[in-house]
This record gives sequence, C-alpha cells and structure tokens, in this order.
Amino acid sequence: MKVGVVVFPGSNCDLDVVHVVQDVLGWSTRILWHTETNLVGLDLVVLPGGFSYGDYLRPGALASYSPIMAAIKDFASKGGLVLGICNGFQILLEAGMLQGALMQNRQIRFVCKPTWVRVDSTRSFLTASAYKGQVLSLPIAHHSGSYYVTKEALKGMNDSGRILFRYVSPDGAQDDAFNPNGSIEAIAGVSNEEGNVVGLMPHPERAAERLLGSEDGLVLFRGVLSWISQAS
Amino acid sequence: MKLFYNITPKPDLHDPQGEALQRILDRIGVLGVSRVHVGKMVVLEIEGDLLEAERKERFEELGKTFFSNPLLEDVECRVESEEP
Repeated sequence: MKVGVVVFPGSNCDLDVVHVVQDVLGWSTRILWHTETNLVGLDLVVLPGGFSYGDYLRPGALASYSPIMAAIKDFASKGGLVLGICNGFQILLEAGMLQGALMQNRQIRFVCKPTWVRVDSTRSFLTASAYKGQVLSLPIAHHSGSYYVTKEALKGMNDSGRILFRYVSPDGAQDDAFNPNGSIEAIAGVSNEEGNVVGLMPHPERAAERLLGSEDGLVLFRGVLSWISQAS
Repeated sequence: MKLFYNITPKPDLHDPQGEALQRILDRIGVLGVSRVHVGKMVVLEIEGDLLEAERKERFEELGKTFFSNPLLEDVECRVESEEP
C-alpha cells in the first residue's frame, strides 16, 4: 500500500497521518508538497487537517487552487482513492470533488473533543471494513465544520449512500445534543458517487492507537485494503 | 480603477457571527436592529478599464466562483473609477 500525504502551507496534521500510515499500519508513505503533480504509483492520497493558507478567504478555498489539486482530480477520475480529513475535507468541497460546503460552527467557537459517529453507508473505501450502524469514537477539532447542502442535493446523496457518517450519541441515536457543530442531518462525512473520494471532519488518524484512547480510526484505514481487494 | 466585491451570507442560512453581534448590540442598548449579517469585502485595484465585455465578465465571474462560495454566500460586484 502506498499513500501520498499532501502538505499545503499551513497543514498541521500531515505528520500524524504519516505516523499512523507508516508506523501503525506499516504502509509506505510519500510526503507531497502542494506544488507537486506526480502521483504515479500511489493507491491513496490524503489531504490532512490544518489551516491551509491560514483559512484565508474561506477554509480550503486557496488550497483548492494548488497545482497538486489538478493532479488529484485526474487521479480520482481514474479510480485513485482520495481522503480529506478536516481541512482536507474543506479543500475537497472547495475543489468541487465533493458536494456541499462547511460553514462556521453554529456556536462560533472552535470545538476540540471526542465525538461518536455512526457509519451510515459502507459504499466507500473508508467505510468498506465497517458495518452499517457501527458507532466509532473519533475526535474533532475545528471551527468551520457545520456541513451544509441543499435539500435537493441531500436527497440524492442519501438515496445513493453518499452520507457516510453522522454524529450520534454513544449508543448510536441521532440527537441534536450530540451534533457538535450544527451540521445538517448531523452529517460528519460524505463521499462522491463512486465511493473513491471521501471527506470527513473527525480525525481517524488521532484515534488509531490504544494509548490515545481509541483505535476506532483503524477500522476506517483498513477499509482501503478491503476496497482495493474487492476492486481487483 | 477599483473593483469591490461585497460578500454576504445567504439570508436564509444560519449566520452565527451576525447573531452574536446582534446579542451584543442588544446588550449595549442599540435598539431597532432586526438582524445583523456579517460578510467580507475584497477590493481589487486593476489596471486599465472594463470596457471590454469579456474582461468585465471575467472579473464578475471571479466574484461568484472564487471570492464567494455560491452555496453559502451572495456577492455583489461594484466598480469605482478614479476619474469622475
């Protein structure tokens, strides 16, 4: 398994992803500066969290014009796997690779805490090893994580299994008290139609070792293996 | 010549910044404010004029495709000439 981890000016979760992919999962990694355009040989490209370009204009807006983004669009169109975590999710939305937008949290404050998310669709590479209804403990850390999409688009996304994760209570119930940012339908992560481009606000890479309180993120990373073995 | 892009959140969307400002206005006794919208402004100083339709359209398009997110925001583009 070969994973590229993109570094934009202002990324700050890049080395966390590299650590989990390399040291926990034992896969090989390549760090990609945002001006690179060669993605040959990679199975998965990760856009990590952080504050690319200082969140200037809108989170993810400037990074979506980085030279590597055209290469990533091409990579995804050929079936390559693309994962955006937190700021990486914001970049994928701004680049038009996923549907919807992320607004400021409804309470305006930056929120950094553990959350529970329920897997609502397994039709993506990130959820391919999970089961529908599975509740995972994953942390969030963001200021603009309130997911929004029009009602019409939302219906299409629900119908085609593109809503992958929702914030829920620890026992898996949808309850506004457990929606940390005011996301529409408590959505925490989505995919494209094909399931090979995924974005989510929670950080699976911060929940990949028992020492850090949760290993639930590994269920998601291992989905990459299931997806690739199913495809071949 | 200057181009002003006035970017505001869509009125039917939740605007937490506007709501926070409204609460403060209430607190300091500013009466009669029914709603506050917080947006941003981008100013471009450009060379030459916008008489050529294609160039004008390109700058107007920029407001919708780059300076604002059409799903969340409305944008108005205004030109201010240096010459009266």
